[in-house]
Amino acid sequence: MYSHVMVGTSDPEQARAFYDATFAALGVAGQHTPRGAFYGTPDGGMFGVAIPRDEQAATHANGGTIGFKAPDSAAVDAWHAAALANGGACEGPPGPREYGAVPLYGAYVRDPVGNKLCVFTVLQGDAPSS
Amino acid sequence: MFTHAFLGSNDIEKSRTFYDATMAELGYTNVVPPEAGALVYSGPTGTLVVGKPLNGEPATVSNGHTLGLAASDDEAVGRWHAAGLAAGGTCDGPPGPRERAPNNSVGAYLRDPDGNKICAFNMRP
Repeated sequence: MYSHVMVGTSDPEQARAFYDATFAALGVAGQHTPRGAFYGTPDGGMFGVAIPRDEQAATHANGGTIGFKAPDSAAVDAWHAAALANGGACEGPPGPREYGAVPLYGAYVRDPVGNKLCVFTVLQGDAPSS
Repeated sequence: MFTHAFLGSNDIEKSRTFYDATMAELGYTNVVPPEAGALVYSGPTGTLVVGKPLNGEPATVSNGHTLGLAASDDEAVGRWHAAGLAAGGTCDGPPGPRERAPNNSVGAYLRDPDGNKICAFNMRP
């Protein structure tokens, strides 16, 4: 469904530290750009963080959330821990989530700008590690 | 990479008009009934949810955030943009090739009725 998603930053170094660490936990590689960084590949969808093109301060939305896929519950835990260690704030600790018939395991954080992010994996018999 | 994205709305009926029209051009329909109070467009590679923020505060837009939707061909990009303009959106960049995109892929940009910046691209990796 998605080709790419961009979020803003006013501090590319801080953004690279946060997103390098959190995407590494999901096994997703990236590259730095002069104004930020990109992660992922065109066929699976890409995520970018950059100074806004209008050169104004980056701000976060109220009501906006971006959800990423995690390969398993251990990756969800690692992603959340990496976020908290790199300037993120907890918005919901790792754990099972009831959003329907499919058993999910997820976690929520705010990035350093305040953008709301989450990761989810479908539980397929693997015991949550926390 | 993505499971879903949530965009905030302050007027779900305006959002319904806009997203029903634009998402149809990309092959998606709202899968929840009107009483759900939100819009859910779902496909095998992701879900878009549009609704009021869960914290009860007004929806606001981010500076720097753009949500990019995948289109199957260049014509779908044009139809998506036209449908958005006819359904309460505003132009944030007309359909055409983009130098910043891989291989000058064709894309177009809109603001939804709440001001969220979205785009559609037929990416040529």
